[in-house]
Amino acid sequence: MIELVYDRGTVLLKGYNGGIFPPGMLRYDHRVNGYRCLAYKYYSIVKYLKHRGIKFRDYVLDLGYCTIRRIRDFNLRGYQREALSSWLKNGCRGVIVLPTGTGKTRVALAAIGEILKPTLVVVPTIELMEQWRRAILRYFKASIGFYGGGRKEIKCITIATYDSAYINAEILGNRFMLAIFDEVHHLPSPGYRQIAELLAAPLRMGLTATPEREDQAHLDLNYLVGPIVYRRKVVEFSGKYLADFDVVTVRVKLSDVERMLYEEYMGKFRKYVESRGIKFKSIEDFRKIILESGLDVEAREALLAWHEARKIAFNAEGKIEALREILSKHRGDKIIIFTDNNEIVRRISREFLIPEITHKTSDKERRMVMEAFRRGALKTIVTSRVLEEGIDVPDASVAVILSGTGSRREFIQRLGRILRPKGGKRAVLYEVVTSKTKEVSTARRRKKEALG
Amino acid sequence: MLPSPLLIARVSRGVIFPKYSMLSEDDVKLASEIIDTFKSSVGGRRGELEDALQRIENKYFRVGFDYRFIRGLAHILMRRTVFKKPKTKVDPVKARFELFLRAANSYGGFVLNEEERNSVLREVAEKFGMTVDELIECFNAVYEDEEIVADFQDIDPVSLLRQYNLSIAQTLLFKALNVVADVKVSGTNAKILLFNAKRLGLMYFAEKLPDGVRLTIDGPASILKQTERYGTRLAKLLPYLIAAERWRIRAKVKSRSGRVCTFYMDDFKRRLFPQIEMTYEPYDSEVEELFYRRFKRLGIDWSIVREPEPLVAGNMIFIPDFAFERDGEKIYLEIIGFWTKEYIEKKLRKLKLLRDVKLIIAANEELYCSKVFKDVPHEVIFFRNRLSAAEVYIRLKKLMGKTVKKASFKGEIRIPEELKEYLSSIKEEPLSKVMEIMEKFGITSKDAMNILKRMGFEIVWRTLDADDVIVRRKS
Repeated sequence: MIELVYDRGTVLLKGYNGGIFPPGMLRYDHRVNGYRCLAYKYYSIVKYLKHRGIKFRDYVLDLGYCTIRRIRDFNLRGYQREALSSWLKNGCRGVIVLPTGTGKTRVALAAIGEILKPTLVVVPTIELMEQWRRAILRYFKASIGFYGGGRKEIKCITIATYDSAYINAEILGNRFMLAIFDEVHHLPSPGYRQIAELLAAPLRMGLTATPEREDQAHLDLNYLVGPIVYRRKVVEFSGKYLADFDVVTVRVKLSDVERMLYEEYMGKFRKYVESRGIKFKSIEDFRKIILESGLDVEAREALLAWHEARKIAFNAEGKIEALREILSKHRGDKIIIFTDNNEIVRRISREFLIPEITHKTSDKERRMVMEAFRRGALKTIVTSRVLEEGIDVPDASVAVILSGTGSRREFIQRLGRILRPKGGKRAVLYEVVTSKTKEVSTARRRKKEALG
Repeated sequence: MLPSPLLIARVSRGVIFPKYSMLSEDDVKLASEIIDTFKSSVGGRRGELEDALQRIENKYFRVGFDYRFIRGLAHILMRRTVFKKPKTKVDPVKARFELFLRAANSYGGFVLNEEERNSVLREVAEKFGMTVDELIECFNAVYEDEEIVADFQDIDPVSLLRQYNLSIAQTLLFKALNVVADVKVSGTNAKILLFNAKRLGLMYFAEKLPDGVRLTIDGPASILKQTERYGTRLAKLLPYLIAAERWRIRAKVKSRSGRVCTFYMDDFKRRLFPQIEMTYEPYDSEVEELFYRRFKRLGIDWSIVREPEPLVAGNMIFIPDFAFERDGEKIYLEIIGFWTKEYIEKKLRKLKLLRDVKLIIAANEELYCSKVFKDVPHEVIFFRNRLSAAEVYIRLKKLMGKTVKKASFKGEIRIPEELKEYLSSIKEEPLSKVMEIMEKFGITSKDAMNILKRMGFEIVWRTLDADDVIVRRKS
């Protein structure tokens, strides 16, 4: 009789000598003289064997003993119920696309409530692990484990970061019935997709506001998680479930000295680029320069010049003053300040005595700050990129973007942060850009893609 | 191992070459300057050390050194350095938190000018009983550049450069799809190597070479998709491979552009790498140790070697406990104590595949009734508590001069049933398509041709265009 066993991210078919499965489903492995496939195919193999009425023994999943109890009603909104039922109808596989702030997490929690079997939740950041834990404990009585941020626990419900799930995919692979991928647009990247490929969990849910990827890899979500089973757009929610918001662009002029330095650095950079005949339309071209600059003194100097120019444009003295001005209008409001540059984060923290959250902030300080911000004892946070995605910061009504890299997703996610509904209050998003530098076009592109 | 951006390598005609340090005088000079910088930084701030390194980088960069090389050396030294948080009167996190809370409380979230800021600083400093300057020191103490360089483990410049060379080879392997290693290696080293491969979750396929073995190392998912998943683990295995007596390594590696290149490394460059010593493992069991001593005491003209070179059984490595040698004749001994049933069955499956060597198996008497030894093509001795050296000597004499059947495993290619089914359905098909399918079953193109011929196909070239070649069943 055929026996299915799990082997480090793959499924081995013992006692199988060919002849049943269509070509391409399995592969012969000369190292073990047997047939093998990636663990994600476990679902279709079982389906196929059952369909053909072939008897087999199944040793793949190792779920252990586990009880998950619901302790509270989910109170789903209409669209959340629709999302859940279309996922259930599709055999408990698929992606749900809902705008940030409309309660994707709630849909996933309801899904856990339907299945009540060991579940893996994969999230992009350590902050989100903590946030998911709190959300789960609100609705369930269950043991919860963390995989990532220095911890390795497998429990009834295990929350892992993408990084840690990728590294430990072999170990996690057969321990869960259900897998939930938060911010699932990360999953199709060449590395992270292996989490889904080496995972045997037959039931899968993906959550995101923006599934599309520039590299078209989102098409692979189909086999990694399942098709998009439910999708709603931002416009369908604004006003009703999402707070309206205003976007204010603040233009800052470079000081004369900054302008001079900026022109000098940009000139140096342009001269190099022209002399080498490099046309730069994209970041790719910059990357090429970086690669070449290992030994080439000129290339390196050019690149350094570009960095310097960018630094001046993105972090002009005037921006600090503009921030001061904005802050003075919002004393007492809950504010989040974003900037890409860690030095600027540090400077703002020191000058304005605003707590900072960067990837270098210690766990202890991060926890203390986030907790105090949540309960309102702290009102402002300045951060580099770590808060970018999915983090719940309820009540925040003002966001300030001091510099950005101009990616579309980033902008939407950052907007999402203040889109949480709150007593009819209009939220404001300030974007501070330097005029007459490269950065203006970046900001314009960003906004167009997000809103248009 | 280094962060990938620091890897210096160039690709030429599908081969990837890392840029090793040739241990030149200039390299040694740079290395010792960096080492000195680390040494003299002990006691100072991390930020100062980093600034000093930046100055060295700028200086050497201008005379033609690759900055990635300079940073690579510093990276290795960083791991030999211990940093400590600066000592402060109050826990910095606590002091900072208090400052932020106070600013939020008194001024609605933040301070907007010097006046507000100073008043918050004064209040908090007072609360903790320190000066404003001490408080600011506290505030800064959480930043990395304020850390104190507490200790540095010294190294000589040439060793550092050798370490660097190994590190860039390892870094290159991060993107490896597999590693093929031809090694001549002692049984002990092979054991350590394979133990570590297993520990890292890797798999291997062994083939016999005239002088040593060929190990093709990758992971479970490697036959299912081209993956760099095991690259980091292969990199970790590299030091165990170059600890062999002789070694030649070939790896398939993804380059930055995503193309698959080949990386070669062999012991001609031994001088460029650190000398890696394997720690000697004690005897597996007392039985073996006692037997070794007794055999030595016999004082006969057979030499005895513990854990000799690995043998290839099927596609697995087998390392016998002992080898005896006399007049160019080599006979092996494997001692099987009392283990679990699965263990012994697995071991015997291996031993049955081992046909072209002379082997004596000494098995614990408690296994006597077991049928497992029925088809084993080797001499079998049963022993109770101690294995008699004389008994082994008798068998050695018996086997001496006997010829063993040289069973060749080449050409004996296993054809999966599914493939057989497919092939028997073919009347006429383009060769390229047939090859593609056979490749999916893990069959190399060379073997594929043999299989096709054996199964009664002929290969017909209609034109000189390779795409036009067809496979046809012979009538």
